[in-house]
Amino acid sequence: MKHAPEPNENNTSHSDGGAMIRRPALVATVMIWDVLALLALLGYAVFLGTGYEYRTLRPADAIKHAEPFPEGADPAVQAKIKRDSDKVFRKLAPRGSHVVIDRVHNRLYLWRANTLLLEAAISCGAGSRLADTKTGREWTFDTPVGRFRVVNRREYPVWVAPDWEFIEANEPIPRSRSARVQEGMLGEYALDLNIPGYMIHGTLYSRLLGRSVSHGCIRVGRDDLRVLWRKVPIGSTVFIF
Amino acid sequence: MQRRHEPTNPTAWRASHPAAASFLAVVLMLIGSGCSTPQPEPWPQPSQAQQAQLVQERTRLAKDNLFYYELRLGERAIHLCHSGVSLRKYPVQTIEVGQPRFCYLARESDQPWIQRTWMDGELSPPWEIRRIRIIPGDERTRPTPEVAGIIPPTMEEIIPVPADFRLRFKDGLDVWFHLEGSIPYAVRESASPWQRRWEDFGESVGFGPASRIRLRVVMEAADGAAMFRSFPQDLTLLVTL
Repeated sequence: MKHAPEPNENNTSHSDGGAMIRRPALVATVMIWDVLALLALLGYAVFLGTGYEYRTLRPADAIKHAEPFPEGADPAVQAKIKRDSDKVFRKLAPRGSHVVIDRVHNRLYLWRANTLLLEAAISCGAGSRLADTKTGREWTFDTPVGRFRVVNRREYPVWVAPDWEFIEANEPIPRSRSARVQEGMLGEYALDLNIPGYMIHGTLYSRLLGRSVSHGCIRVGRDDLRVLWRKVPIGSTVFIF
Repeated sequence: MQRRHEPTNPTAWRASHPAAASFLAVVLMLIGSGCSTPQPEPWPQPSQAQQAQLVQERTRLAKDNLFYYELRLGERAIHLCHSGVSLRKYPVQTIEVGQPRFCYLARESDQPWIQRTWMDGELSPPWEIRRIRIIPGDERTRPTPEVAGIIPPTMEEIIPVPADFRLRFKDGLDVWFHLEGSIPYAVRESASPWQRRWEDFGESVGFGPASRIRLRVVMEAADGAAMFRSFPQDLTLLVTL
């Protein structure tokens, strides 16, 4: 009488013997994967819990985080700071009316102290680039930023076209000055700034006001330019940002 | 079928049930008082010493003849200033303070960051302008095309803005800006949330330059984009109470 062979894990000749041998290896592999998955989850949890936590700024926190200024407790020091500051601001403050130009949004604001006298659509520098392949010269048509002042005012100004005007139009550059003079291009008035070549002036292209289309100057519509002419004397401050 | 109309007196119920009406009124009042929003904490007024400190900082910045920003926490606004003059105001929706945390444990920083000036701010991603190269004789690339049908782009269309950007100041202040709503005109892709989280993780555990103070400022998209497009080269920020 034949007996069925006893299950023996070491019996490799058994038909299931391979599986028997692989089972501990499988268990170990599963355990390793479990541990790895657990570690990954743990790492993920650490990752999620690490970084920055945001809280709304509360008034109490604001006081706590204010820079200490112990010397400021002395009234004599406070008075001196105030005196020095008044002196500086008297010197720096724009006298009379001042012009603020937002070159990104092509807007001009005319202020007198804290009163807005005029808001106007303008055209500032296009930001484009031109290169002269013959001479290697390059121009970038940006409106400069900073604090400037009006140094000259002209009625019915004429424009002496620079070289770039002819290069841009693919025309020969004239040698004589008279060939460069163009009347009416700058409108009725021009306010020269203390950066050579840059001014606030009128335009023939009023349809393009509000767009960045100039070569760096500030173009203003006819009616707004008339207001500026009346209210902006020589020496007025012009902020361009 | 004929409908019977019964005359009604709206005050009849109230008149007939005065006790019930008063009870109901009391209940409504109690519910109302429970549902009312809590009064916001009053924003702290700077002391005399802090005011003097602020005046001193403003004077110092005004003398520099540079653009600078003022983050006014109480007013919830950022002002672009030059020579002590506020040129433009950008309203802010919320200001949050970020605290580094490791495994969900946040560390509170006690470093003062209000009432002080932060210099050398670096914008990330950096400001870029998609400049048009003018092709001589090509009307379509000229800043002011003579042909009426061509509409040149504005600065807003050539300076793309991301929905998230940050200003990192040299001495350890990081200001993250998040713009809510749709950005007007050109939009630039922001870093993915996972990339930001990974960077935060790295900074929090000490890899890379950690920001000692971190703020998160949420702005309306139009205001935030206007501010982004007007950023000057060197960024200076004065944070005030």
